[in-house]
Amino acid sequence: MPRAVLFCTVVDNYGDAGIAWRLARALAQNHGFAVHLVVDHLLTLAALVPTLATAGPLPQEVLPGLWVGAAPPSAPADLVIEVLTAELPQDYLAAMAAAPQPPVWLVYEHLSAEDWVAGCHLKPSPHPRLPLTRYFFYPGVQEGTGGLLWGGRDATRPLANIQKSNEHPSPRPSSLKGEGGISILLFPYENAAVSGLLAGLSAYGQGAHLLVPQGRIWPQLSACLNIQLEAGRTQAHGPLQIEALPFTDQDTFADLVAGVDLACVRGEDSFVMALMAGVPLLWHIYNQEDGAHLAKLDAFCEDYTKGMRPALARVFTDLHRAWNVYDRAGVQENIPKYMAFLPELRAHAQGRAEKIKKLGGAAQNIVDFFGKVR
Amino acid sequence: MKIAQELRSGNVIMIGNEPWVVKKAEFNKSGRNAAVMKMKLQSLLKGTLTETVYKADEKFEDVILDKKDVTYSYFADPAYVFMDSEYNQHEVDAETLGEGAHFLDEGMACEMTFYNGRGISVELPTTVIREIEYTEPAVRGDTSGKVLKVARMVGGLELKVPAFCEIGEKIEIDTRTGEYKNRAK
Repeated sequence: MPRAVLFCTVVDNYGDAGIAWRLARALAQNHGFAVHLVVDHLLTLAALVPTLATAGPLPQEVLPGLWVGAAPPSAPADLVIEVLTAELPQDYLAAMAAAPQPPVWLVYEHLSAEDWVAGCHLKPSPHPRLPLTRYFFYPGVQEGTGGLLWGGRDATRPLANIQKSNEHPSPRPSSLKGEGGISILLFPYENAAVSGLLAGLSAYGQGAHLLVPQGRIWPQLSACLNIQLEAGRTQAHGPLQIEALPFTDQDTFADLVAGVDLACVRGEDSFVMALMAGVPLLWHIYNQEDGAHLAKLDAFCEDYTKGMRPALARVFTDLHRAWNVYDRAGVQENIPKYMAFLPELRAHAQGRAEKIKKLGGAAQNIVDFFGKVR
Repeated sequence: MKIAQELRSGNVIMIGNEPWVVKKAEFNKSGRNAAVMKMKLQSLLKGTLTETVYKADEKFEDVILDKKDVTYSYFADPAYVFMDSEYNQHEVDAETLGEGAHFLDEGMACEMTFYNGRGISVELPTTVIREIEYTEPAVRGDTSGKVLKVARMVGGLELKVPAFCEIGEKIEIDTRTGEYKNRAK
């Protein structure tokens, strides 16, 4: 059984741990690896994976063949992955260099639709001083990239099943069942344009049920609505129903994303969930002070809108731009137009998911590369 | 030490025990992705080319290579022999010289680069003059230089020259590209 070690550094929020967990689980459950996931902040991972007991002895076998701990095993694995910003401890690096057969060493990067990514995907990076070669694995949505991680409980369950659960979502909050209104997941970072979103949705006039998981938007939303959000409680705001949801585990959250009519997602983990579930989305990209995220956003919009009618493509791009530069008026103006396109957007989103699937799942592509290099 | 982001075309770095010259360096950064340098490298020992990607802060030992002024002496199959100002002879093979071998003239002043005492590259003057030994007759009226024809130089080198060039004429050739520059004055 090949052994894999994944290193994860939690920078902030839950995306780093969430992505590392999904990759680790896919390698263990679907590709027969004995996986050891090393996380520097176990409490963050435990919030997403309730079966992880942080108080117990480590490493802990959380799933069959998947151990979680704070330190790697002493013997180097066959496959070593630095997830996102993680870096290897120097002693582990030295052990890798001394191994009779050096591990296949990857960096699992953030996804991007920018043109340069395919040119860097899986290019070698021979270590300047050690007999080791690292490779940069770029998840992506375009040819030449590594595809995406998808799925909830089973990271490689057929996409058809995901879309089936999308049509008949089981874990939808009870308040939604039996209602015919539009359901919207609201899961951005802090976003000053949220007041524009609420105003625009109200103006749309068809009513909407907003599901707002506990998170960074709560204080702003509370201030906007002049109410105190409380997990489990639904409050009316004009034609909108605002339902505050408690923090939930990753699997339940993935099903929630797949079950709504519009998913306002953020960062990377929930964004990938929405892309692969074929759900209409509004992406709040991780903001960077130097504005580097906007080029990435533009590249995504350009790629995602391929095949859209020009009118829809324009609204998609304008809304995403406004949402990400916190342009309240721009969001208010564009969200009703966007809502009017929802059926068409869903068909487009499902087509995009199928296209991305043709790139192969990221875990599968890593396993294929491992087999080629090893 | 230099970090990857500081590397430019022409820099020489060590990877393992091998010196590599940077042929092309391209910086990429977006969003939360690690800033990376995509580089085309050429081994100074084997001549092999490779494309690599490094984190922008990866540290490299940069190599300062010895350089000497030399003059080309003669060809002693399979090596080209150059002489420095102290009359030491240095041999370089045809693979190292590449296309430059076509432009060597006895007594030509060049610059040789050494690694561990061994000549690994030769920089020729950027321009050499050659006489056209044969080409099709000149085309009257076309002086634009845009219409090209093949010409053979004395010594056997063939390249494309403007249609107005004639047999016996001397031309300047760019040794970096191997292309016609202009008529010799």
